[in-house]
Amino acid sequence: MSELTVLNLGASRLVAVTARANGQGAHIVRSGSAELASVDAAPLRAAAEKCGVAGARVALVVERGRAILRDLELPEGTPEELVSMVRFQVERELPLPVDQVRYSYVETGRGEGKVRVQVAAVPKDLIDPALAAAEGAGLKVTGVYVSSYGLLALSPDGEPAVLIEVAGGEAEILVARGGRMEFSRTATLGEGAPADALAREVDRTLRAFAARSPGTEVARIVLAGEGEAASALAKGLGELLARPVSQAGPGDLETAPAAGLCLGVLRGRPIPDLLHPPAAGRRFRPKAAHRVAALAALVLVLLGVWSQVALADKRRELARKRDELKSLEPRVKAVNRMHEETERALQWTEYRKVWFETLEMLQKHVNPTQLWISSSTFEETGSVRLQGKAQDHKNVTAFVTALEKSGHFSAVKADKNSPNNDRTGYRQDFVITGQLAGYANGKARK
Amino acid sequence: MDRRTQVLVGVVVAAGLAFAADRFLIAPWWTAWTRLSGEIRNVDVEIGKARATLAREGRVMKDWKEVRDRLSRRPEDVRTHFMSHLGSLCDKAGVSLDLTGSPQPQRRGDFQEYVYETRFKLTWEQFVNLLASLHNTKEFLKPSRIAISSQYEREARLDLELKVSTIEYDPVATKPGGRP
Repeated sequence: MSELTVLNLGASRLVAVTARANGQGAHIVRSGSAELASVDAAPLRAAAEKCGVAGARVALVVERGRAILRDLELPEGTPEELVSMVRFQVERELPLPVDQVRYSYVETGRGEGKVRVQVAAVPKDLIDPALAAAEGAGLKVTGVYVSSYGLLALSPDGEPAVLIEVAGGEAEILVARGGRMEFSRTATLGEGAPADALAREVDRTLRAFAARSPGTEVARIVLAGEGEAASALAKGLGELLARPVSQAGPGDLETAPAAGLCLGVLRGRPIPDLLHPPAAGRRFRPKAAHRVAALAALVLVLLGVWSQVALADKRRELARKRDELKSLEPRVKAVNRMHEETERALQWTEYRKVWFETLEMLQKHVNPTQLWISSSTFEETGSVRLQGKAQDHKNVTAFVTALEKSGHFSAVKADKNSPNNDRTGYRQDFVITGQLAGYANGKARK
Repeated sequence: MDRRTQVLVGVVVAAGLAFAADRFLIAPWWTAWTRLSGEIRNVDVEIGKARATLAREGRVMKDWKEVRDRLSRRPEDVRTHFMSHLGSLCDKAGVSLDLTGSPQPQRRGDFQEYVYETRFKLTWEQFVNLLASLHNTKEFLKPSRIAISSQYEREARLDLELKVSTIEYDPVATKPGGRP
């Protein structure tokens, strides 16, 4: 639900109309008028408060007499091109430099490669003081519109019609067709019976329009406003013109155009907003390079995300495996300890056989006629020392070779193999040292 | 900027970006990735070892039970029992036992080891018999040192220094909540 208040700042009077739009359409919720001493912040705030408007979003109405309206026919183009073409035409056709006016436009027709637009322009000198006063009064101005479009919003669509607004001794008369403003003008009604003067101005308008658009019959005359004053004026006008004059609301003679503008804006009719003219919005059109860059950026982002996800997965996997290892460790330690103690105990049973098997092997390889062992020592570490005499150094070498081939020793060598003066025939002294196979860290193994 | 300069600037910017990306994005990620991969490999190896160990848990328990059963079958006073057993082995070999010193216990894991040092003067036949007895005994016995010497003229007489030991199961007391 949206609400809009339209303020018409006249020379000495403020007219305020508030309308609200909901799902069922737009309708007037409040309207009124108050004396306006001057178009300044304080008087405006006071007048607005009298009309029941405070701190609201408002739209200002500029009277038709202060605005310049132009119909342009331009070649079709993009919206950006249309903005440029309109600006170019405004610069050419307006009597003021373009930077000194506020202008806007609406498209009124299109066909045969042409676009028809209606431009509304108002000198900034006439708008900006009212804007400053409204802002100073605490009102947020959301748009500025020409009053003719309020009148137009009251017109019945379809057949050409003359729309008349009478307020403050002036009349605005326009010819509308198909919801489009074809012709408009303002007239001062002067002193006396307004119906007479108004009838004359309407008649002039009809003749001017007939000259401009020959063959176009304007069948209806509509007076904006309801109520007694409006009815009396419509009746008098009809009698003078000898044609029926109908009335269009909501609102009375004074508030009807503002009410029409309110409803028109809320209903989304195309009305040129002098504060927000169509702009040549610079639309971004992606090119191949942009697409490639976007794709590359997307790939990089995906890579970044993937890399972090992969790292997180890796960390989870490591944590899971560590937990698994931790859960196995107590049993593993118990088994290792059991195995270690079993191996230790077997040193006193199974593994001691290494010693005896070695002694047996020595006995097998010693030929007493060639070699005699006088001393042999077997240590717990597996080291063996054999000392003795031989008939010849070749007997020692052959003995060492036999020990090596026996497989009982991981290392064996003759530390000493030298002749002596023994008269027994054993002329060679020898010392053989070796290490029993199957020993690790001083312990026997199977 | 002419085309050539634009290309050069582009190349320099791309190289700079590549360097920065490598230095501040790729390198930290790669370091973390390789560290994690290495740690996972190490843990996998450890898990493999642990599973291999657990795969032989049944056999280890069986072996250990056998050892414990054998140990528990002996009398409580292991030292006296072993002395007696050693004496009987010597008698069987026909030699008299000559102990030097009193055995002092030495800790070997969950066991106490008692070492006995003996000296013998014996014939070759007695030596062979003694060795056979020592070899065949069912007792927990281990020769720690054997030193044999003989003289050419008296080849049949041997001097034997024998150091043997036995063990007693005596596990180290564990702290409350510690490993059994």
